[in-house]
Amino acid sequence: MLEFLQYFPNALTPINLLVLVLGTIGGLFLGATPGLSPTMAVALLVPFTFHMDPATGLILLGAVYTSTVAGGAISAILINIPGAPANIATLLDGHPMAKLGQAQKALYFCFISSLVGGLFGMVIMIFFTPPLAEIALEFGPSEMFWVALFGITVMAGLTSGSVLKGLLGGMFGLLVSVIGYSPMLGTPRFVFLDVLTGGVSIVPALIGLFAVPQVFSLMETAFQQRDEVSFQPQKGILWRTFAENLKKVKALSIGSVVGTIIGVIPGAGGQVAGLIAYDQVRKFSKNPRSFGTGNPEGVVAAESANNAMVGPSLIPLLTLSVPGSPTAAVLLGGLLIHGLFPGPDLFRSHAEVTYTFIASLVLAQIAMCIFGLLMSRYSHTVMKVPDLEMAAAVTVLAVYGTFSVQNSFDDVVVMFSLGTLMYLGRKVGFSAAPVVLGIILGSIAEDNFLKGKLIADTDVGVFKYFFTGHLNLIIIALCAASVGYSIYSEVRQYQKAKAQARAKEASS
Amino acid sequence: MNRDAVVGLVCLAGSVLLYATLGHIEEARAAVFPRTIIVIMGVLSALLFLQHLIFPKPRPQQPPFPWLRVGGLFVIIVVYLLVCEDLGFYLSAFLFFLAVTYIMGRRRLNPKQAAKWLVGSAVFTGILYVLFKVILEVQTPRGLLV
Repeated sequence: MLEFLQYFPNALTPINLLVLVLGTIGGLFLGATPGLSPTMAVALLVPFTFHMDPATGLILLGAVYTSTVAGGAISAILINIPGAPANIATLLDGHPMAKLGQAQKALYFCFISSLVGGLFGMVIMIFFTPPLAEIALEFGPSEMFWVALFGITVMAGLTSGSVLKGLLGGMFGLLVSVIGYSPMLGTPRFVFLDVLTGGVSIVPALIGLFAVPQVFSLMETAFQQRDEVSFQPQKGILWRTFAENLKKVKALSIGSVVGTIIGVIPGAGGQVAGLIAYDQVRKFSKNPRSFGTGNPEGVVAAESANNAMVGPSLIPLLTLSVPGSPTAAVLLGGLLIHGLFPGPDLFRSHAEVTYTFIASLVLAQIAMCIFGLLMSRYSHTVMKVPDLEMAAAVTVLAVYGTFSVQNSFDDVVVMFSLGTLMYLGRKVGFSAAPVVLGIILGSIAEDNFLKGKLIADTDVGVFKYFFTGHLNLIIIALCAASVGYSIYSEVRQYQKAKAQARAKEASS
Repeated sequence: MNRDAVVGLVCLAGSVLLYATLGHIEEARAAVFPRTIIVIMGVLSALLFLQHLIFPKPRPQQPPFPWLRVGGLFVIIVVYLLVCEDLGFYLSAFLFFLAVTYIMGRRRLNPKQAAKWLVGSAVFTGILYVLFKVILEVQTPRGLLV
């Protein structure tokens, strides 16, 4: 906590504040634009941080991460399309509120609740991250190998509808990470084409996997009609809504606590946080039937939860390299390209950068609320950005971002090829998040696997080294639990779908 | 056969092909990690195939896929990438923006609209130029103009 206060002023330098404000406004805009996910926005911005010092670069990514999650509520409320998966629960009551002529009020609720939830999550993050990072000191090569696999198993289980497809995606990512020359042995692997000689760098992979499929998806929905509501800005309702919002203590508390807990669980993300918080608030409500018809408590719970998740989702990331959400996985890529490796070292050798970044996340929550409230009156104009122009702009930015990494067009070819493959993969149920995590964690997994094998060969043997010891067993158990839970969820979903199909058949 | 079972088969075939290429890796130790991953991929693919063969999932009705639009965009992007290094980043970005908004937008050509697209593309390219060339001073693919 002392270090946090010590480095807090670093986040207040003019350049850092300027980047924070620009990142927040840009993030709100990107979040509000239907079809552009926060993960893609952060991935596209990673190359821009090359030209900044690490702290400023991370401030930009953190500000965009925070504000895209809140900005996604704008399209959820106004056109019934969540700007991000985290805003799915928001539209359940947000859009009905807009239909009742309370769009601006719903937006105010959304940004004020996001601020409350976001600050709550940040406090938890500030208190718990440094001590948890110290635990990582106990980790040797075998534990780090299992941690890398744990990251992939949780992301695989929770981000795709099928655990097998998720795991296959994660394994594919691991395989992509070994393309090129082996860093430990100098041997070429899977270099089928010249463009693969240097391997697949993180940034082209991030941009390709998140941006290219999005561009094609924008084209699919380019001419679809949207469920738009008329927006009439009202004057003088801000402070009234502010007071009303803060009185909704139950919804705010449930949302903030649920978001924080879900955020710490690797892989779960804002979507799960928002939906669980919404469900809990409805269950505790005296009038559960009013949910879904424009009850502000639904918006408050969902939005406080999905922003409360932002800070805690960085706890496993900054301590163990295991991201709490797909966007946090992209942030991990941002950390690595600036030479910052998660773990205790981050809070010792790079304390200045790390604590400045954390301080900026607190400021980003405040900036998100201020600019979100200011933008609310004009947010309906953001919806008017045409899909075609957006698809063209994203493609050009993706080409620039990829090229700028090494000034190499080979990277652009790799980016587009991986992106096209991912688009096809998405069509048959694969998700980008486990693939990205596989690529990012691949080198950590392989390095530690080979180091561990070297130690094991001269000591106790491979099996004993990797499969005994309390830390190894705990992480293996966590891997098994995450896969087991995902299988259980899938079986339940299958049974539910089958029962519904049977009921439909019987009724017809 | 169920679509996901076919996906399982394709992944299995891919795993077998990749396993066959492992023989090209000269140093045996460098092949240990990829071999382990490919074997796991093969097992997962086989399980995916069996899962969907034994327990096929009912598929919801999907709207028809817009092949022409998505395929058209794919072709435009490929052409854009092919000419980007020769024309340079800014000129190719200008033409790409114009191509996507005009061809994909299926808009009718009249002088007023044409002026609109040209101005729109020029403004977009101008913003890129100011951002990358003037403010950030970064290198972009060079070509005919800049």
